[in-house]
Amino acid sequence: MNTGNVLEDYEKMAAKCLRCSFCKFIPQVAIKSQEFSTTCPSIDRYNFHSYSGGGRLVMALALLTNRLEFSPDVLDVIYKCTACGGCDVACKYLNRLEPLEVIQAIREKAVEVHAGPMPAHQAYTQRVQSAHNPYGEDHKRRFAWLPDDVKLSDNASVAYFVGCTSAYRRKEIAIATARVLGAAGVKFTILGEEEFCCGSPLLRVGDRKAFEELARHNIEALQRRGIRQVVMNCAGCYSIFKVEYPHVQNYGFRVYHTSQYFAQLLRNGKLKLATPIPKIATYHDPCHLGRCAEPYKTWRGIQFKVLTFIQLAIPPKPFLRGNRGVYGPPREVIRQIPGLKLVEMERNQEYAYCCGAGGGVKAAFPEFALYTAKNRLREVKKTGAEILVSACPFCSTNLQDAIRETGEPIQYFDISELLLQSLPKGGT
Amino acid sequence: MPLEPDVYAAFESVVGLENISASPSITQIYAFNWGIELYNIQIGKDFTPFATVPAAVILPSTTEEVQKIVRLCNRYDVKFKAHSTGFGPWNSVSVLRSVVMDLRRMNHIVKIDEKNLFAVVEPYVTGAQLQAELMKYGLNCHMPGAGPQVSPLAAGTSMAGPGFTSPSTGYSGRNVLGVEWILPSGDIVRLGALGLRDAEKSDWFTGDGPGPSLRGIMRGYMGALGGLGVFTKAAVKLYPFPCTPSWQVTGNSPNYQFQVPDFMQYHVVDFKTYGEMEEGMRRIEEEEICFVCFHTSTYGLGAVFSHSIGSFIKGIPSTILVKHPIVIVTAARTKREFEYKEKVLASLLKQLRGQDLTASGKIVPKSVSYAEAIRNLLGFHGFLIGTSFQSTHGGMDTMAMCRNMIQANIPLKKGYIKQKVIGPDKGEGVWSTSYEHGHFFHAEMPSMYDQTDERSVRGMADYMQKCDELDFEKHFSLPFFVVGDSAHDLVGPLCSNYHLWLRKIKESLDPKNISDPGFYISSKAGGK
Amino acid sequence: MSPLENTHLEKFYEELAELLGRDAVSNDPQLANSYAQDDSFTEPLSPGLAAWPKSTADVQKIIKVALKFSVPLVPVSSGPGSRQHGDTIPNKTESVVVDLSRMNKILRIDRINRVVMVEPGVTFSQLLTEMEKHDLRLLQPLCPRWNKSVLTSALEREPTLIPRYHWDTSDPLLCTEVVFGTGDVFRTGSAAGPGTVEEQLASGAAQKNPMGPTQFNLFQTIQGAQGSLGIVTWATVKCELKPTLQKIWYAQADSLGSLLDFAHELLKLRIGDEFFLMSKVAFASLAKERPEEVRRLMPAVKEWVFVVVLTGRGEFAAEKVGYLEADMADIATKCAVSLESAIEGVDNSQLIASFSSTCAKPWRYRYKGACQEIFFVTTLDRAPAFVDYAKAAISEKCGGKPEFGVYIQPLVQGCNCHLEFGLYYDPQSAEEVTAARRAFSLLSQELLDKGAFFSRPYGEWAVGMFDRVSPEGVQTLQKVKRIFDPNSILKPGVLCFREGSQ
Repeated sequence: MNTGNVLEDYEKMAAKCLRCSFCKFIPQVAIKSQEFSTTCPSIDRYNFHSYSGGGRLVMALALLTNRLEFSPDVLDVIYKCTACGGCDVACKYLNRLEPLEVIQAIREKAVEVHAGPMPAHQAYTQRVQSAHNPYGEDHKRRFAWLPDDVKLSDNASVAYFVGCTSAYRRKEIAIATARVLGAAGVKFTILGEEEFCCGSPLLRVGDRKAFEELARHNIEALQRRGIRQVVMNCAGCYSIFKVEYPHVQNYGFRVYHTSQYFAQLLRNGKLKLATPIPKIATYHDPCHLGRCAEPYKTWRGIQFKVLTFIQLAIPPKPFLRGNRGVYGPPREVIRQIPGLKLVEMERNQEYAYCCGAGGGVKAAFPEFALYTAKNRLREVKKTGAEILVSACPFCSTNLQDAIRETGEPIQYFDISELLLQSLPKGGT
Repeated sequence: MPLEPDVYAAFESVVGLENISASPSITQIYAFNWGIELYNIQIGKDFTPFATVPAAVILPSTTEEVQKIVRLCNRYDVKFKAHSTGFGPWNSVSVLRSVVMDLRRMNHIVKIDEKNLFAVVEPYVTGAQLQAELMKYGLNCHMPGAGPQVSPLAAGTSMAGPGFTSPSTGYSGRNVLGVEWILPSGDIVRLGALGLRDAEKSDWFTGDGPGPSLRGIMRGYMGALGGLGVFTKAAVKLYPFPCTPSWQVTGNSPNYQFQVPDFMQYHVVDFKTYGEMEEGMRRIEEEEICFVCFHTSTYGLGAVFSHSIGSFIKGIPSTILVKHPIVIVTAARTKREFEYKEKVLASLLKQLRGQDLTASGKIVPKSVSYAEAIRNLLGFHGFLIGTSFQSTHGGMDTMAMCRNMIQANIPLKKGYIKQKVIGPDKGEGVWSTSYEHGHFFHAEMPSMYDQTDERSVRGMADYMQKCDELDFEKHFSLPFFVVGDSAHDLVGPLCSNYHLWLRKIKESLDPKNISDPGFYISSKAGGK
Repeated sequence: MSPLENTHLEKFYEELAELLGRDAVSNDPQLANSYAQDDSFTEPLSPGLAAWPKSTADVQKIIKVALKFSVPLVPVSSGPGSRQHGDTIPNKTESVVVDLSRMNKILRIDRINRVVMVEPGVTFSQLLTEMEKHDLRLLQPLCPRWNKSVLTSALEREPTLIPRYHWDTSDPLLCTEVVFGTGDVFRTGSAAGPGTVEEQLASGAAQKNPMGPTQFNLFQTIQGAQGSLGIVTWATVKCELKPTLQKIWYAQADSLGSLLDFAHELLKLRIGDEFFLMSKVAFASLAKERPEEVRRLMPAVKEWVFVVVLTGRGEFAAEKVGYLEADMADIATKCAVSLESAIEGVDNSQLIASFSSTCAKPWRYRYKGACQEIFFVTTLDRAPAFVDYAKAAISEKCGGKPEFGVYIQPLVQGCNCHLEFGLYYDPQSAEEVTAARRAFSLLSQELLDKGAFFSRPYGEWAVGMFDRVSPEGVQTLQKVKRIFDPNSILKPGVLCFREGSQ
């Protein structure tokens, strides 16, 4: 989030870390088993305390007090983290720190002093700058996935922002989304070559400047076309648009994730689901649709102390705990699919375990990304689910990579794909 | 002080490349902990939240690896400090050329003996994890007041032991059966029946004997805080789950809703005077009806049931007029048991003139507070307002002594509150709980201070010293943190010269001070 | 051997008599002989002298003189006839018995804090009589002999009757004052300080917290040491409140195993106060005083009897017992156990009364006149297997003799139990004595071989036990011994403190 803070602003806060280890586990009252009690993939994998939310808080303090410098080892700690916010949610149950803000601030400082990000991140940043997507794919083919029979509407006020991963790697999600929108009679358009990477992969690794350029471009492209509603199936894009873009530039359109949009369409009777899917499914909350998707207003006000130490603010400072993420709509959609039984994983909603892909990890540390996804798959398996549903193409890629590697008999579908399957005649 | 390459290589050959690090990105982080800034001031060092930086951090995964590491430490004269989840300043090393053994990879629940009511755990099993698994058997464990995220093994073998469920689950140090203990020499001692050489016949059901119990050497009221070796497994006693074993949490942070099991009830009871509160604690506990029973201050009461500063401030009007509250949770497995307990409590409160603020609707804890009572998370609310706190005093004996200690502390504390170096709580800040249905009581006085403000930290350190002096002057039981050479040398002469014997134990078991003595005692031979 | 023939001991005697007074030391061989043996099969050996300290200072003097002359000391607290394990019999001819029976003050009975403070010479009979006047009950073993020392019983970790009040192995022992083998006085637990006991009392304390001071619990290490680390001169002992309503229940079965699930569940839920299981003959010996009464009762009782007492106190006593009974009945149904409120021929109120009183003669002797107990700590679920081993051993290797009874006392709130085999014999019959002696040794070995954990290893059990535990533990204990009794004057040779081991 854009708090307007830089790393130096967090020195006092970092010194207040209690090293209580809350950040390593889901909120303590939510723990239902030992196996699924942890929240931080980083320390789960690497075990040294530095690799936890609290560890990175202390790392910030050590950097600020010249006990550390941005060495390769320090960068290793900083970037072997999906910035999933699990530590943030757990810490804030009873503490008043901002681990995720500090992780972001360290990364931005690393980039500022040209120590970071990792070479893999630098490579994809260059690809974004040249090809407008981190995969280095041909920008002109960004919408090559679009089926011929999907009708676009040039003057539509609804735009489908596809996102790089759906466009180039998870085309089945893009196709499904387009077909579902079509089946619902939604008149929508696309930005075509004007759609650039949303900038999330750049911001997450600390390159705020490059991100802001992309943000401005996308906002202007949408505003120019008079778009009133932007729908996106990527949680990463959603979170960036919803939470970060307003701090770069104001915009007048409403942002929806497809799960929210589809839920609305179902409620309004625009979508009729007919084909049963008689399976057991479980839903994985993408971090960027859940706990990292809370809109944030930059706080301006006054701070003062009462009772000697209690810091108060007027107006109250927003304290994001992940409880206003998009949790209801995906479940609402899934529950309306005939025949499908939804079983929750132990770690869900704001304390869902990360899929492992975000924060630049998939690019720089693919083995770690897969490790995390396999952890999540164990939890999926425990539910007895045959289908794993989620709502983010990046989660889709990483979780399916894990399914393939482990050979688990689990099918993965995006929400859009399940909906499409359940539409009469498969939505065609 | 870096380790020599061959020494580092020796440790690496035990745990593997990935499980040892001398990188500052790791070691500097392990030098930081809660309360270090306070500890540094107390020992005359600079104001900083960093302690001595270890030369390396090692992550063993088995008893055998720990033993090898300890033997290498002996061979190369490297000191070591082992810790589990590592919460608190006593987890840091005190001298250069030390290694930290972070026991995180030793996180198995080895055995749950449902019939004989004990569980065997490794160091990094947390209280919440253990409780969650035990619930499947209708069982529960004791958890220390530091919270469910810390280790029952560490609490039982090496640290203190008060918990919010202590009235019904006791004190950590009294909840330990068989222990696997790696001495500072690297020898493994298995306590009690675990010590039978025939592995087929050894078991964890008792940690005492044959003959004298080495549990008495292993720890006291306080554990050795890493100064007497490493504990790699321990059996902890189990208790019945206090009510129907079910755990349904819904909603989102911090407003979780907990499906309160049948037959569980909070009672926040107020008493007009300290004397009445003292009698209340004692008489209520005699009836053996409480799962939780503790006295706290009015601010403490507000904190315990709040989940944000906002709700804490909002709650002040309803708590400010409370005088001397006792927080009780009754819990039962059957309706008839529950009805009995409730009836007894109601009758007793009438006799004792205790006002049940929950029954009258004045203070009604939310459903999540029931979850927090079971999960021993109530104490962590002390951190809610965003500063640090540390407790002074901590002596354990009778409720009368605790009450006298609480009252004697008030004018002392008010002096420091006036200086604005510690948080204002009318001097009454306290947590006092019963153990084993009222056989023991302890009282500690938590005080808020700003760990980033040197003046506040120095003030707090000074206040802590004065609290200790008050305990000595008034002959209250010893406070928790009489640890380290200078504290022992100061206090020993007041208490049967225990320090001489404690030092002999250290000399006998660890003459070279290989096991970090910073929060224990050092042997004369090894020096400080 | 007359002590006067031994000038070394003679000098000791003279110096000690000078310090304590001649009425506090004796070199009379006949008197010394009274300490030479007890009811166990331990080889008798007379001490050279006996001394009767009256105070902690006296104990210190004795130890200091013993150090000067390198004379081994054997502390004794209980009266004659109540010593049964050989631990008070000297193992060296020049030993001096330190008989603490004259230190017999009940220092304090404290209802408010549920604690008593006693000197070592205070007997069960003496203390229970005094406690009648208070609302307190002692956490006591089953029918101790009237002149057994309360303090020693707690120090020796004798099993007490109420598992749910047995929170830790060390209960009911709390704080102690001890004189180490160096002659130093030390107070354990919160009694250590700050301040004197009186000053602590004035602060509201009551020497309740057994832990500490600070980072060790010496009381736990002194406990079970059989007097080889220090001589305890007073102790505080945990008590509970006296119930006003007590109801006894029984469950009987032909097999021990069929009662255990029921017992486990009750232990888990902390249901029941007095709580134990016995074989038929042991139960009959407990319930009846005379041998013929014991024999007459036996046919009316099944092979195994489980006994539990439910209690309540005060205004709602009946309600408490009521819900406990109902809960227990539900569990009994679940475990297919039949509960009985009476056993024909057994006087319930007499039996209940015996749980908080003493006996003139050990209850185990009622059947045949004498009994040798073999006991160790194990888990309840292992008890049937050990019983089978014992049966097989007696049957196959001892010709089926002697008859034995079994007493199982759950401890530490159900985590483990005291399992005791009582070998009954007629002390007037040489043949039975021989058979009992042989069976005692044989069965002890057999049980050791089968993994029995003798946590209180008296006599030959110590040899067997310490040979079977890991040497590291033994070495650590020996180091502890060297700290608290560096000159090895306190019961040298006992436990693992054998000659040459230090």
